[in-house]
Amino acid sequence: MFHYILKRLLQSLIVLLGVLVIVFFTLRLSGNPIDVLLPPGASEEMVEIYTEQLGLDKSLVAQFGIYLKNIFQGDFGTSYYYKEAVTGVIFERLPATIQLTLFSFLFTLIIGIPAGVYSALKSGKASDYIVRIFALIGQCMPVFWAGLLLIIVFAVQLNLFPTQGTGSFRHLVLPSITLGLYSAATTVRLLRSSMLEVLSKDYIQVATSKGLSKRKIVWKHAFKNAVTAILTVLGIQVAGLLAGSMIVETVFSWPGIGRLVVQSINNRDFAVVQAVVILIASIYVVINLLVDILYSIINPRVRLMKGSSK
Amino acid sequence: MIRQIVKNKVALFSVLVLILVVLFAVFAEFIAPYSPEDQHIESKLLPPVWDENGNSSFILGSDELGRDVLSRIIHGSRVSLIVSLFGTLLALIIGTVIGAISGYYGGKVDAILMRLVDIVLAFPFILLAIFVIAITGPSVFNIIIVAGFATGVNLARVIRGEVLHVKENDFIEATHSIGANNFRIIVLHILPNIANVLIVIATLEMANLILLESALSFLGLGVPAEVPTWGKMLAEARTLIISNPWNAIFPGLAITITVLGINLFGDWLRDYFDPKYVEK
Repeated sequence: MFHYILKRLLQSLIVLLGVLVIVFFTLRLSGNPIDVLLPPGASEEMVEIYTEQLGLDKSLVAQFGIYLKNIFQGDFGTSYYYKEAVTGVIFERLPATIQLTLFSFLFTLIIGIPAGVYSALKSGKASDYIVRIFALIGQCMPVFWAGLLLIIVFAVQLNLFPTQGTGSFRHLVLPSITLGLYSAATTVRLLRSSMLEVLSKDYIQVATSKGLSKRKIVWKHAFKNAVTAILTVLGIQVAGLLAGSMIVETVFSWPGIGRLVVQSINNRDFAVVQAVVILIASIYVVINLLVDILYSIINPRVRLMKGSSK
Repeated sequence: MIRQIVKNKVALFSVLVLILVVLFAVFAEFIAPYSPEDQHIESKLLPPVWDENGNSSFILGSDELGRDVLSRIIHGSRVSLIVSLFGTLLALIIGTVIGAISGYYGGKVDAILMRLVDIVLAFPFILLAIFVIAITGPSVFNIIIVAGFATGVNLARVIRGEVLHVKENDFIEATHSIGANNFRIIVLHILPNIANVLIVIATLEMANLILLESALSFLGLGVPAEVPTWGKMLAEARTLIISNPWNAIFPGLAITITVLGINLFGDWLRDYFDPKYVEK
Protein backbone atom coordinates (compact mmCIF):
# COMPACT_ATOMS: atom_id res chain seq x y z
CA MET A 1 0.00 0.00 0.00
CA PHE A 2 2.62 2.48 1.13
CA HIS A 3 4.86 1.33 -1.68
CA TYR A 4 2.11 1.91 -4.24
CA ILE A 5 1.34 5.41 -2.95
CA LEU A 6 5.01 6.33 -2.95
CA LYS A 7 5.37 5.11 -6.50
CA ARG A 8 2.33 7.07 -7.72
CA LEU A 9 3.59 10.14 -5.88
CA LEU A 10 6.93 9.91 -7.63
CA GLN A 11 5.26 9.43 -11.00
CA SER A 12 3.10 12.50 -10.40
CA LEU A 13 6.15 14.57 -9.53
CA ILE A 14 7.82 13.55 -12.78
CA VAL A 15 4.68 14.44 -14.71
CA LEU A 16 4.50 17.82 -12.96
CA LEU A 17 8.09 18.53 -13.86
CA GLY A 18 7.30 17.51 -17.44
CA VAL A 19 4.40 19.96 -17.47
CA LEU A 20 6.77 22.76 -16.46
CA VAL A 21 9.24 21.72 -19.18
CA ILE A 22 6.53 21.73 -21.86
CA VAL A 23 5.24 25.16 -20.84
CA PHE A 24 8.79 26.53 -20.72
CA PHE A 25 9.71 25.28 -24.18
CA THR A 26 6.37 26.13 -25.79
CA LEU A 27 6.88 29.74 -24.75
CA ARG A 28 10.36 29.67 -26.28
CA LEU A 29 9.22 27.78 -29.36
CA SER A 30 8.22 30.95 -31.09
CA GLY A 31 11.58 32.64 -30.64
CA ASN A 32 12.09 35.31 -28.02
CA PRO A 33 9.58 34.78 -25.18
CA ILE A 34 9.44 38.55 -24.74
CA ASP A 35 7.55 38.73 -28.05
CA VAL A 36 4.96 36.42 -26.56
CA LEU A 37 4.96 37.60 -22.96
CA LEU A 38 4.71 41.28 -23.82
CA PRO A 39 2.41 42.84 -26.39
CA PRO A 40 3.97 44.60 -29.38
CA GLY A 41 4.97 48.14 -28.56
CA ALA A 42 5.78 47.42 -24.94
CA SER A 43 8.06 49.99 -23.37
CA GLU A 44 11.85 49.54 -23.27
CA GLU A 45 11.59 49.57 -19.52
CA MET A 46 9.14 46.62 -19.45
CA VAL A 47 11.34 44.66 -21.87
CA GLU A 48 14.30 45.25 -19.58
CA ILE A 49 12.38 44.18 -16.47
CA TYR A 50 11.28 40.96 -18.17
CA THR A 51 14.74 40.22 -19.58
CA GLU A 52 16.16 40.67 -16.12
CA GLN A 53 13.42 38.63 -14.40
CA LEU A 54 13.55 35.69 -16.80
CA GLY A 55 17.33 35.82 -17.25
CA LEU A 56 16.90 35.99 -21.01
CA ASP A 57 20.46 37.22 -21.49
CA LYS A 58 21.69 33.94 -19.99
CA SER A 59 21.86 30.42 -21.44
CA LEU A 60 18.74 28.28 -21.91
CA VAL A 61 19.70 26.00 -19.03
CA ALA A 62 20.21 28.97 -16.71
CA GLN A 63 16.85 30.35 -17.86
CA PHE A 64 15.16 27.07 -17.01
CA GLY A 65 16.79 27.16 -13.59
CA ILE A 66 15.49 30.67 -12.93
CA TYR A 67 12.06 29.66 -14.19
CA LEU A 68 11.91 26.64 -11.86
CA LYS A 69 13.21 28.63 -8.91
CA ASN A 70 10.60 31.35 -9.43
CA ILE A 71 7.76 28.85 -9.73
CA PHE A 72 8.74 26.91 -6.62
CA GLN A 73 8.84 30.21 -4.76
CA GLY A 74 5.32 30.87 -6.01
CA ASP A 75 6.46 33.74 -8.20
CA PHE A 76 4.77 33.69 -11.59
CA GLY A 77 5.93 37.14 -12.58
CA THR A 78 4.01 40.33 -13.12
CA SER A 79 0.95 40.72 -15.28
CA TYR A 80 1.58 43.27 -17.99
CA TYR A 81 -2.10 44.13 -18.28
CA TYR A 82 -3.14 44.24 -14.63
CA LYS A 83 0.19 45.66 -13.42
CA GLU A 84 0.28 43.36 -10.40
CA ALA A 85 1.64 39.97 -9.40
CA VAL A 86 0.14 37.18 -11.48
CA THR A 87 -0.59 35.08 -8.40
CA GLY A 88 -2.73 37.90 -7.01
CA VAL A 89 -4.67 38.24 -10.27
CA ILE A 90 -5.36 34.51 -10.30
CA PHE A 91 -6.29 34.07 -6.64
CA GLU A 92 -8.77 36.92 -6.94
CA ARG A 93 -10.67 34.93 -9.58
CA LEU A 94 -10.08 31.39 -8.38
CA PRO A 95 -13.01 31.23 -5.92
CA ALA A 96 -15.52 31.95 -8.70
CA THR A 97 -14.16 29.07 -10.77
CA ILE A 98 -14.07 26.68 -7.83
CA GLN A 99 -17.67 27.59 -7.04
CA LEU A 100 -18.70 26.91 -10.62
CA THR A 101 -16.75 23.65 -10.83
CA LEU A 102 -18.18 22.33 -7.55
CA PHE A 103 -21.76 23.09 -8.52
CA SER A 104 -21.22 21.53 -11.95
CA PHE A 105 -19.87 18.41 -10.32
CA LEU A 106 -22.86 18.36 -8.00
CA PHE A 107 -25.10 18.62 -11.04
CA THR A 108 -23.15 15.80 -12.69
CA LEU A 109 -23.74 13.55 -9.70
CA ILE A 110 -27.37 14.52 -9.10
CA ILE A 111 -28.32 13.89 -12.73
CA GLY A 112 -25.74 11.31 -13.78
CA ILE A 113 -26.04 8.77 -10.98
CA PRO A 114 -29.82 8.31 -10.76
CA ALA A 115 -30.18 8.42 -14.54
CA GLY A 116 -27.39 5.91 -15.06
CA VAL A 117 -28.78 3.46 -12.50
CA TYR A 118 -32.33 3.92 -13.77
CA SER A 119 -31.27 3.34 -17.35
CA ALA A 120 -29.47 0.13 -16.41
CA LEU A 121 -32.43 -1.19 -14.41
CA LYS A 122 -34.83 -0.44 -17.27
CA SER A 123 -32.38 -1.80 -19.84
CA GLY A 124 -34.03 -2.38 -23.20
CA LYS A 125 -37.24 -0.57 -22.25
CA ALA A 126 -38.46 2.66 -23.81
CA SER A 127 -37.42 4.75 -20.78
CA ASP A 128 -33.87 3.38 -21.09
CA TYR A 129 -33.75 4.49 -24.71
CA ILE A 130 -34.95 7.96 -23.84
CA VAL A 131 -32.26 8.39 -21.17
CA ARG A 132 -29.62 7.07 -23.54
CA ILE A 133 -30.67 9.38 -26.36
CA PHE A 134 -30.48 12.37 -24.02
CA ALA A 135 -27.05 11.25 -22.80
CA LEU A 136 -25.80 10.79 -26.34
CA ILE A 137 -27.01 14.22 -27.43
CA GLY A 138 -25.47 15.71 -24.28
CA GLN A 139 -22.12 14.30 -25.36
CA CYS A 140 -22.43 15.53 -28.95
CA MET A 141 -23.46 19.12 -28.18
CA PRO A 142 -20.71 21.71 -28.01
CA VAL A 143 -20.65 23.04 -24.44
CA PHE A 144 -20.99 26.66 -25.49
CA TRP A 145 -24.01 25.92 -27.66
CA ALA A 146 -25.73 24.16 -24.77
CA GLY A 147 -25.07 27.34 -22.78
CA LEU A 148 -26.52 29.56 -25.50
CA LEU A 149 -29.64 27.37 -25.72
CA LEU A 150 -30.13 27.51 -21.95
CA ILE A 151 -29.79 31.30 -22.12
CA ILE A 152 -32.37 31.53 -24.90
CA VAL A 153 -34.91 29.34 -23.10
CA PHE A 154 -34.45 30.12 -19.40
CA ALA A 155 -33.05 33.63 -19.46
CA VAL A 156 -34.52 35.29 -22.56
CA GLN A 157 -37.86 33.49 -23.05
CA LEU A 158 -38.82 32.47 -19.50
CA ASN A 159 -36.82 35.16 -17.73
CA LEU A 160 -36.06 32.79 -14.84
CA PHE A 161 -32.31 33.32 -14.61
CA PRO A 162 -29.90 36.14 -15.49
CA THR A 163 -28.07 35.78 -18.83
CA GLN A 164 -24.65 36.50 -17.38
CA GLY A 165 -22.58 37.78 -14.51
CA THR A 166 -22.40 36.73 -10.89
CA GLY A 167 -23.69 37.76 -7.49
CA SER A 168 -26.45 35.39 -6.45
CA PHE A 169 -27.33 31.73 -6.49
CA ARG A 170 -29.56 32.33 -9.50
CA HIS A 171 -26.50 33.44 -11.45
CA LEU A 172 -24.86 30.11 -10.74
CA VAL A 173 -27.62 27.85 -12.08
CA LEU A 174 -27.25 28.10 -15.86
CA PRO A 175 -23.42 28.08 -15.98
CA SER A 176 -23.28 25.07 -13.64
CA ILE A 177 -25.76 23.10 -15.72
CA THR A 178 -23.93 24.03 -18.92
CA LEU A 179 -20.56 22.99 -17.58
CA GLY A 180 -21.91 19.82 -16.00
CA LEU A 181 -23.93 18.66 -18.99
CA TYR A 182 -21.18 16.80 -20.79
CA SER A 183 -19.84 15.06 -17.70
CA ALA A 184 -23.37 14.18 -16.59
CA ALA A 185 -23.96 12.57 -19.98
CA THR A 186 -20.66 10.70 -19.75
CA THR A 187 -21.50 9.53 -16.23
CA VAL A 188 -24.89 8.22 -17.34
CA ARG A 189 -23.37 6.18 -20.16
CA LEU A 190 -20.50 4.79 -18.10
CA LEU A 191 -22.56 4.05 -15.02
CA ARG A 192 -25.21 2.33 -17.12
CA SER A 193 -22.76 -0.09 -18.71
CA SER A 194 -20.92 -0.56 -15.44
CA MET A 195 -24.20 -1.36 -13.64
CA LEU A 196 -25.27 -3.78 -16.36
CA GLU A 197 -21.97 -5.60 -16.03
CA VAL A 198 -22.25 -5.86 -12.25
CA LEU A 199 -25.90 -6.91 -12.37
CA SER A 200 -24.99 -9.91 -14.50
CA LYS A 201 -22.48 -11.17 -11.90
CA ASP A 202 -23.05 -14.31 -9.88
CA TYR A 203 -23.15 -12.59 -6.51
CA ILE A 204 -26.16 -10.59 -7.60
CA GLN A 205 -27.90 -13.86 -8.43
CA VAL A 206 -26.95 -15.14 -5.00
CA ALA A 207 -28.28 -12.00 -3.36
CA THR A 208 -31.51 -12.34 -5.33
CA SER A 209 -31.97 -15.99 -4.41
CA LYS A 210 -31.33 -15.14 -0.76
CA GLY A 211 -34.49 -13.10 -1.05
CA LEU A 212 -32.95 -9.68 -0.42
CA SER A 213 -35.11 -6.73 -1.37
CA LYS A 214 -34.52 -5.30 -4.82
CA ARG A 215 -33.59 -1.98 -3.31
CA LYS A 216 -30.89 -3.55 -1.17
CA ILE A 217 -29.49 -5.49 -4.12
CA VAL A 218 -29.40 -2.49 -6.40
CA TRP A 219 -27.89 0.03 -4.02
CA LYS A 220 -25.85 -2.08 -1.65
CA HIS A 221 -24.49 -4.77 -3.91
CA ALA A 222 -24.64 -3.51 -7.48
CA PHE A 223 -24.28 0.25 -7.22
CA LYS A 224 -21.35 0.18 -4.85
CA ASN A 225 -19.33 -1.99 -7.21
CA ALA A 226 -20.44 -0.17 -10.32
CA VAL A 227 -19.54 3.25 -8.96
CA THR A 228 -16.11 2.03 -7.83
CA ALA A 229 -15.40 1.00 -11.39
CA ILE A 230 -16.08 4.49 -12.72
CA LEU A 231 -14.43 6.38 -9.85
CA THR A 232 -11.34 7.14 -11.90
CA VAL A 233 -13.43 8.66 -14.65
CA LEU A 234 -15.40 10.76 -12.15
CA GLY A 235 -12.12 12.14 -10.83
CA ILE A 236 -10.86 13.04 -14.27
CA GLN A 237 -14.16 14.77 -14.89
CA VAL A 238 -13.56 17.24 -12.09
CA ALA A 239 -10.37 18.26 -13.84
CA GLY A 240 -12.18 18.29 -17.18
CA LEU A 241 -14.75 20.68 -15.68
CA LEU A 242 -11.93 23.00 -14.72
CA ALA A 243 -10.71 23.08 -18.31
CA GLY A 244 -14.27 23.44 -19.63
CA SER A 245 -14.69 26.51 -17.43
CA MET A 246 -12.70 28.48 -20.03
CA ILE A 247 -15.57 28.09 -22.47
CA VAL A 248 -18.49 28.29 -20.06
CA GLU A 249 -17.11 31.34 -18.26
CA THR A 250 -16.79 33.06 -21.62
CA VAL A 251 -20.41 32.28 -22.52
CA PHE A 252 -21.78 33.58 -19.21
CA SER A 253 -19.18 36.30 -18.52
CA TRP A 254 -18.38 34.47 -15.29
CA PRO A 255 -15.47 36.20 -13.54
CA GLY A 256 -13.23 33.15 -12.96
CA ILE A 257 -9.85 31.99 -14.18
CA GLY A 258 -11.29 30.46 -17.35
CA ARG A 259 -12.47 33.81 -18.62
CA LEU A 260 -9.23 35.33 -17.35
CA VAL A 261 -7.22 33.03 -19.64
CA VAL A 262 -9.28 33.90 -22.70
CA GLN A 263 -9.10 37.62 -21.92
CA SER A 264 -5.39 37.42 -21.22
CA ILE A 265 -4.80 35.75 -24.57
CA ASN A 266 -6.61 38.63 -26.24
CA ASN A 267 -4.62 41.12 -24.17
CA ARG A 268 -1.45 39.17 -25.00
CA ASP A 269 -0.78 38.98 -21.27
CA PHE A 270 1.02 35.65 -21.36
CA ALA A 271 2.49 35.66 -17.88
CA VAL A 272 -1.10 35.11 -16.69
CA VAL A 273 -1.84 32.48 -19.35
CA GLN A 274 1.29 30.53 -18.46
CA ALA A 275 0.44 30.55 -14.76
CA VAL A 276 -3.15 29.38 -15.27
CA VAL A 277 -2.02 26.61 -17.62
CA ILE A 278 0.45 25.37 -15.01
CA LEU A 279 -2.16 25.69 -12.27
CA ILE A 280 -4.85 23.71 -14.09
CA ALA A 281 -2.43 21.01 -15.25
CA SER A 282 -1.14 20.67 -11.68
CA ILE A 283 -4.64 20.36 -10.26
CA TYR A 284 -5.31 17.74 -12.92
CA VAL A 285 -2.25 15.74 -11.86
CA VAL A 286 -3.07 16.03 -8.15
CA ILE A 287 -6.68 14.95 -8.65
CA ASN A 288 -5.54 11.96 -10.67
CA LEU A 289 -3.12 11.04 -7.91
CA LEU A 290 -5.77 11.36 -5.19
CA VAL A 291 -8.28 9.31 -7.18
CA ASP A 292 -5.73 6.56 -7.76
CA ILE A 293 -4.85 6.44 -4.08
CA LEU A 294 -8.51 6.42 -3.08
CA TYR A 295 -9.15 3.73 -5.64
CA SER A 296 -6.34 1.58 -4.29
CA ILE A 297 -7.81 1.87 -0.81
CA ILE A 298 -11.26 0.82 -1.98
CA ASN A 299 -10.06 -1.83 -4.39
CA PRO A 300 -7.04 -3.76 -3.06
CA ARG A 301 -6.56 -5.58 -6.36
CA VAL A 302 -5.11 -2.39 -7.86
CA ARG A 303 -2.12 -2.11 -5.59
CA LEU A 304 -1.38 -5.80 -5.90
CA MET A 305 -1.28 -5.56 -9.67
CA LYS A 306 2.08 -5.24 -11.30
CA GLY A 307 3.86 -2.01 -12.10
CA SER A 308 2.42 1.23 -13.35
CA SER A 309 -1.25 1.97 -12.95
CA LYS A 310 -3.69 2.35 -15.83
CA MET B 1 -21.39 -3.83 -45.40
CA ILE B 2 -23.72 -1.53 -47.34
CA ARG B 3 -26.58 -3.98 -46.89
CA GLN B 4 -25.88 -3.99 -43.15
CA ILE B 5 -25.99 -0.20 -43.05
CA VAL B 6 -29.28 0.02 -44.91
CA LYS B 7 -30.82 -2.55 -42.56
CA ASN B 8 -29.84 -0.56 -39.47
CA LYS B 9 -31.81 2.69 -39.14
CA VAL B 10 -29.28 4.38 -36.88
CA ALA B 11 -26.39 3.48 -39.16
CA LEU B 12 -28.33 4.68 -42.18
CA PHE B 13 -29.04 8.01 -40.47
CA SER B 14 -25.39 8.48 -39.53
CA VAL B 15 -24.12 7.67 -43.02
CA LEU B 16 -26.64 10.02 -44.63
CA VAL B 17 -25.54 12.82 -42.28
CA LEU B 18 -21.90 12.20 -43.13
CA ILE B 19 -22.57 12.12 -46.88
CA LEU B 20 -24.52 15.37 -46.60
CA VAL B 21 -21.76 17.14 -44.65
CA VAL B 22 -19.09 15.97 -47.08
CA LEU B 23 -21.19 17.14 -50.03
CA PHE B 24 -21.65 20.51 -48.31
CA ALA B 25 -17.92 20.86 -47.82
CA VAL B 26 -16.88 19.78 -51.30
CA PHE B 27 -19.54 21.55 -53.34
CA ALA B 28 -20.19 24.52 -51.03
CA GLU B 29 -20.03 27.05 -53.90
CA PHE B 30 -22.68 25.21 -55.89
CA ILE B 31 -25.01 24.30 -53.06
CA ALA B 32 -25.02 27.54 -51.06
CA PRO B 33 -27.58 30.05 -52.34
CA TYR B 34 -25.21 33.01 -51.72
CA SER B 35 -21.55 33.64 -51.11
CA PRO B 36 -20.95 33.40 -47.34
CA GLU B 37 -19.56 36.93 -47.33
CA ASP B 38 -22.35 38.64 -49.33
CA GLN B 39 -23.90 41.35 -47.17
CA HIS B 40 -27.56 42.00 -47.94
CA ILE B 41 -27.91 45.27 -46.09
CA GLU B 42 -31.66 45.52 -46.67
CA SER B 43 -32.27 42.15 -45.01
CA LYS B 44 -30.35 42.05 -41.73
CA LEU B 45 -31.18 39.78 -38.81
CA LEU B 46 -33.98 37.89 -40.53
CA PRO B 47 -35.57 34.97 -38.70
CA PRO B 48 -35.86 31.64 -40.56
CA VAL B 49 -38.43 31.21 -43.30
CA TRP B 50 -41.13 29.56 -41.12
CA ASP B 51 -41.26 32.53 -38.77
CA GLU B 52 -43.94 35.07 -39.71
CA ASN B 53 -41.25 37.67 -40.42
CA GLY B 54 -39.17 35.22 -42.41
CA ASN B 55 -38.09 35.74 -46.00
CA SER B 56 -38.17 32.85 -48.46
CA SER B 57 -34.84 33.85 -50.02
CA PHE B 58 -33.07 33.41 -46.64
CA ILE B 59 -34.22 29.99 -45.49
CA LEU B 60 -32.41 30.01 -42.15
CA GLY B 61 -32.43 33.79 -41.82
CA SER B 62 -29.55 36.25 -41.90
CA ASP B 63 -27.07 37.70 -39.42
CA GLU B 64 -26.40 41.25 -38.25
CA LEU B 65 -24.45 42.04 -41.43
CA GLY B 66 -27.17 40.62 -43.66
CA ARG B 67 -25.23 37.49 -44.54
CA ASP B 68 -27.20 34.34 -45.34
CA VAL B 69 -27.01 31.90 -42.39
CA LEU B 70 -27.57 28.80 -44.54
CA SER B 71 -24.75 29.72 -46.92
CA ARG B 72 -22.38 30.34 -44.02
CA ILE B 73 -23.28 27.00 -42.42
CA ILE B 74 -22.66 25.19 -45.72
CA HIS B 75 -19.28 26.89 -46.14
CA GLY B 76 -18.48 26.45 -42.44
CA SER B 77 -18.49 22.69 -42.85
CA ARG B 78 -15.16 22.96 -44.68
CA VAL B 79 -12.96 24.05 -41.79
CA SER B 80 -14.61 21.52 -39.46
CA LEU B 81 -14.06 18.65 -41.85
CA ILE B 82 -10.52 19.62 -42.84
CA VAL B 83 -9.41 19.97 -39.22
CA SER B 84 -11.03 16.74 -38.08
CA LEU B 85 -9.89 14.71 -41.10
CA PHE B 86 -6.26 15.80 -41.19
CA GLY B 87 -6.01 16.07 -37.41
CA THR B 88 -7.18 12.49 -37.09
CA LEU B 89 -4.79 11.29 -39.81
CA LEU B 90 -1.88 12.94 -38.04
CA ALA B 91 -3.08 11.50 -34.74
CA LEU B 92 -3.22 8.03 -36.24
CA ILE B 93 0.35 8.31 -37.49
CA ILE B 94 1.70 9.63 -34.19
CA GLY B 95 -0.39 7.25 -32.10
CA THR B 96 0.53 4.20 -34.16
CA VAL B 97 4.26 4.92 -34.14
CA ILE B 98 4.43 5.59 -30.38
CA GLY B 99 1.91 2.90 -29.46
CA ALA B 100 3.46 0.20 -31.64
CA ILE B 101 7.02 0.87 -30.47
CA SER B 102 5.95 1.09 -26.84
CA GLY B 103 3.78 -2.02 -26.92
CA TYR B 104 6.07 -4.14 -29.07
CA TYR B 105 9.42 -3.44 -27.44
CA GLY B 106 8.17 -3.00 -23.88
CA GLY B 107 10.70 -2.54 -21.08
CA LYS B 108 12.55 0.76 -20.72
CA VAL B 109 11.42 2.17 -24.08
CA ASP B 110 7.84 1.56 -23.06
CA ALA B 111 8.32 3.11 -19.63
CA ILE B 112 9.90 6.26 -21.04
CA LEU B 113 7.38 6.70 -23.85
CA MET B 114 4.44 6.16 -21.52
CA ARG B 115 5.76 8.69 -19.01
CA LEU B 116 6.05 11.22 -21.85
CA VAL B 117 2.47 10.39 -22.82
CA ASP B 118 1.40 10.93 -19.20
CA ILE B 119 2.96 14.38 -19.26
CA VAL B 120 1.13 15.48 -22.37
CA LEU B 121 -2.10 13.99 -21.02
CA ALA B 122 -1.69 16.01 -17.82
CA PHE B 123 -2.93 18.96 -19.86
CA PRO B 124 -6.64 18.85 -20.44
CA PHE B 125 -6.98 18.65 -24.24
CA ILE B 126 -8.72 22.02 -24.70
CA LEU B 127 -6.24 23.75 -22.40
CA LEU B 128 -3.22 22.47 -24.33
CA ALA B 129 -4.82 23.47 -27.61
CA ILE B 130 -5.67 26.96 -26.37
CA PHE B 131 -2.19 27.47 -24.95
CA VAL B 132 -0.32 26.38 -28.07
CA ILE B 133 -2.64 28.15 -30.53
CA ALA B 134 -2.45 31.35 -28.50
CA ILE B 135 1.33 31.29 -28.82
CA THR B 136 1.78 30.02 -32.37
CA GLY B 137 -1.14 31.98 -33.77
CA PRO B 138 -4.45 30.72 -35.11
CA SER B 139 -4.39 28.97 -38.48
CA VAL B 140 -5.86 25.77 -39.87
CA PHE B 141 -2.37 24.29 -40.04
CA ASN B 142 -1.56 25.04 -36.37
CA ILE B 143 -4.90 23.70 -35.19
CA ILE B 144 -4.35 20.46 -37.12
CA ILE B 145 -0.85 20.06 -35.66
CA VAL B 146 -1.97 20.64 -32.08
CA ALA B 147 -5.12 18.54 -32.40
CA GLY B 148 -3.27 15.74 -34.15
CA PHE B 149 -0.48 15.70 -31.61
CA ALA B 150 -2.67 15.74 -28.51
CA THR B 151 -5.10 13.19 -29.93
CA GLY B 152 -2.23 11.05 -31.21
CA VAL B 153 -0.70 10.83 -27.74
CA ASN B 154 -4.07 9.76 -26.42
CA LEU B 155 -4.39 7.10 -29.12
CA ALA B 156 -0.86 5.85 -28.40
CA ARG B 157 -2.08 4.43 -25.12
CA VAL B 158 -4.97 2.55 -26.68
CA ILE B 159 -2.81 1.27 -29.54
CA ARG B 160 -0.11 0.16 -27.11
CA GLY B 161 -2.68 -1.92 -25.27
CA GLU B 162 -3.88 -3.51 -28.49
CA VAL B 163 -0.33 -4.26 -29.62
CA LEU B 164 0.44 -5.89 -26.27
CA HIS B 165 -2.60 -8.05 -26.78
CA VAL B 166 -1.79 -9.12 -30.36
CA LYS B 167 1.88 -9.68 -29.51
CA GLU B 168 0.95 -12.59 -27.26
CA ASN B 169 -0.38 -14.63 -30.19
CA ASP B 170 1.49 -17.71 -31.35
CA PHE B 171 1.71 -16.57 -34.95
CA ILE B 172 3.89 -13.63 -33.91
CA GLU B 173 6.36 -15.98 -32.31
CA ALA B 174 6.17 -18.20 -35.38
CA THR B 175 6.94 -15.26 -37.66
CA HIS B 176 9.79 -14.34 -35.39
CA SER B 177 11.24 -17.83 -35.58
CA ILE B 178 11.31 -17.90 -39.38
CA GLY B 179 13.51 -14.82 -39.20
CA ALA B 180 11.22 -11.86 -39.86
CA ASN B 181 12.64 -8.64 -38.44
CA ASN B 182 10.79 -6.51 -35.91
CA PHE B 183 9.77 -3.81 -38.35
CA ARG B 184 8.26 -6.39 -40.68
CA ILE B 185 6.40 -8.06 -37.83
CA ILE B 186 4.95 -4.78 -36.61
CA VAL B 187 3.88 -3.51 -40.01
CA LEU B 188 2.76 -6.72 -41.69
CA HIS B 189 1.51 -8.80 -38.80
CA ILE B 190 0.55 -6.65 -35.85
CA LEU B 191 -0.93 -3.51 -37.41
CA PRO B 192 -3.35 -5.34 -39.73
CA ASN B 193 -4.67 -7.13 -36.67
CA ILE B 194 -5.49 -3.92 -34.88
CA ALA B 195 -6.78 -2.09 -37.97
CA ASN B 196 -10.40 -2.52 -36.91
CA VAL B 197 -9.80 -0.93 -33.54
CA LEU B 198 -7.83 1.87 -35.20
CA ILE B 199 -10.66 2.67 -37.60
CA VAL B 200 -13.21 2.79 -34.80
CA ILE B 201 -11.22 5.04 -32.47
CA ALA B 202 -10.18 7.25 -35.38
CA THR B 203 -13.83 7.76 -36.25
CA LEU B 204 -14.71 8.70 -32.69
CA GLU B 205 -11.73 11.06 -32.49
CA MET B 206 -12.94 12.86 -35.61
CA ALA B 207 -16.07 13.81 -33.70
CA ASN B 208 -13.95 15.12 -30.83
CA LEU B 209 -11.87 17.23 -33.17
CA ILE B 210 -14.96 18.85 -34.68
CA LEU B 211 -15.99 19.84 -31.15
CA LEU B 212 -12.48 21.12 -30.43
CA GLU B 213 -12.29 23.20 -33.59
CA SER B 214 -15.69 24.74 -32.92
CA ALA B 215 -14.66 25.57 -29.35
CA LEU B 216 -11.44 27.22 -30.51
CA SER B 217 -13.35 29.21 -33.12
CA PHE B 218 -15.90 30.23 -30.52
CA LEU B 219 -13.12 31.56 -28.28
CA GLY B 220 -11.64 33.52 -31.19
CA LEU B 221 -8.68 31.16 -31.53
CA GLY B 222 -9.87 29.50 -34.69
CA VAL B 223 -9.03 30.24 -38.29
CA PRO B 224 -8.54 33.83 -39.56
CA ALA B 225 -11.49 36.18 -39.55
CA GLU B 226 -12.72 35.96 -43.13
CA VAL B 227 -13.36 32.18 -43.16
CA PRO B 228 -16.82 31.23 -41.83
CA THR B 229 -16.87 28.48 -39.20
CA TRP B 230 -19.69 27.14 -37.06
CA GLY B 231 -17.98 28.11 -33.82
CA LYS B 232 -17.36 31.66 -34.99
CA MET B 233 -20.97 32.05 -36.10
CA LEU B 234 -22.07 31.12 -32.57
CA ALA B 235 -19.60 33.58 -31.04
CA GLU B 236 -21.08 36.34 -33.21
CA ALA B 237 -24.62 35.26 -32.39
CA ARG B 238 -23.87 35.34 -28.65
CA THR B 239 -23.61 39.13 -28.60
CA LEU B 240 -27.10 39.51 -30.07
CA ILE B 241 -28.72 36.58 -28.33
CA ILE B 242 -31.40 38.59 -26.54
CA SER B 243 -32.75 40.41 -29.59
CA ASN B 244 -32.06 37.71 -32.12
CA PRO B 245 -31.83 34.18 -30.67
CA TRP B 246 -32.32 32.47 -34.05
CA ASN B 247 -28.71 32.99 -35.15
CA ALA B 248 -27.53 31.04 -32.12
CA ILE B 249 -29.58 27.96 -33.07
CA PHE B 250 -28.58 26.66 -36.49
CA PRO B 251 -24.75 26.60 -36.42
CA GLY B 252 -24.94 24.68 -33.13
CA LEU B 253 -27.44 22.31 -34.66
CA ALA B 254 -25.01 21.74 -37.54
CA ILE B 255 -22.18 20.88 -35.12
CA THR B 256 -24.35 18.62 -32.97
CA ILE B 257 -25.85 16.69 -35.89
CA THR B 258 -22.43 16.21 -37.51
CA VAL B 259 -20.83 15.04 -34.26
CA LEU B 260 -23.83 12.81 -33.55
CA GLY B 261 -23.59 11.31 -37.05
CA ILE B 262 -19.89 10.54 -36.68
CA ASN B 263 -20.29 9.08 -33.19
CA LEU B 264 -23.21 6.88 -34.20
CA PHE B 265 -21.26 5.70 -37.22
CA GLY B 266 -18.27 4.91 -35.00
CA ASP B 267 -20.48 2.96 -32.59
CA TRP B 268 -22.00 1.06 -35.47
CA LEU B 269 -18.54 0.28 -36.92
CA ARG B 270 -17.46 -1.12 -33.57
CA ASP B 271 -20.47 -3.44 -33.43
CA TYR B 272 -19.93 -4.37 -37.06
CA PHE B 273 -16.28 -5.34 -36.55
CA ASP B 274 -16.82 -7.04 -33.24
CA PRO B 275 -20.37 -7.80 -32.13
CA LYS B 276 -19.07 -9.03 -28.79
CA TYR B 277 -17.32 -5.79 -27.95
CA VAL B 278 -18.55 -4.41 -24.64
CA GLU B 279 -18.45 -0.68 -24.16
CA LYS B 280 -15.63 0.16 -21.78
